[in-house]
Amino acid sequence: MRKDSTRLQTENPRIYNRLAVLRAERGLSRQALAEAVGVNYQTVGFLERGDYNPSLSLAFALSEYFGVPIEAIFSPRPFQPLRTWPSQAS
Amino acid sequence: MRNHMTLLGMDMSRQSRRRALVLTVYALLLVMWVLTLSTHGSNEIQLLLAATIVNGFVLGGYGKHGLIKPFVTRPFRAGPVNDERDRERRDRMHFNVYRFMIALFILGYFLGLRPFQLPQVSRAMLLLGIILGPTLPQALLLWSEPDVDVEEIG
Repeated sequence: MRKDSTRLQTENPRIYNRLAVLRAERGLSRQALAEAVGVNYQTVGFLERGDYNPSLSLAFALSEYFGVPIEAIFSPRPFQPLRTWPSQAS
Repeated sequence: MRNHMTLLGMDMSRQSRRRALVLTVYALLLVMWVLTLSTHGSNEIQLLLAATIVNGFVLGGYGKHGLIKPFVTRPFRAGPVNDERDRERRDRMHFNVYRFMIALFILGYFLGLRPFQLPQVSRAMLLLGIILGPTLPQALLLWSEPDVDVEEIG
């Protein structure tokens, strides 16, 4: 645990996200999402692919725009597919 | 980088094309560097002028033209703004170039002193710094940025 937390602080770990899913659900283009949260459309692509971790302010802006908590969009661990969520599996 | 990557009508959204452009630019600047070293006039200003022209019209970073958006944080003449990823990459590249330039200048300075006493090498490194200092951050940005995702525009 201690080793993991040290790694998280020093190595800029990958942050997983559901941006592509949320954007597709709402029928948004990358351009539209980018304009809504004040970044370039290329940055949205890098965010979706996990090639760039957003700042806290950008994460809050995305959370506010989609109307969901930040942890519903970003996670340090891969998101599980919906069919394997505990509520659906039980 | 700018959203629409074109230079003289050529599409520069592909990384391979941008790398070819960077290599071409530095090949030309290298020729100028060699010519400046081989002549004994005080024409160093031509190198600085060439680097400025390359920045202004090809690489960008300092004005209206070129492939890189102006490095300023606020809009430059109502132009495109650097977002947080742009700024992070800009700062990282400038930091890398800063470290390299410091090493280059210190090495060049001491090579001109005893016991080395190599004033020609010292001058060559200083002139190299004149070329690389203003251009290398933009070149690294163009070199390292992956292919632009163009299908999502609009």
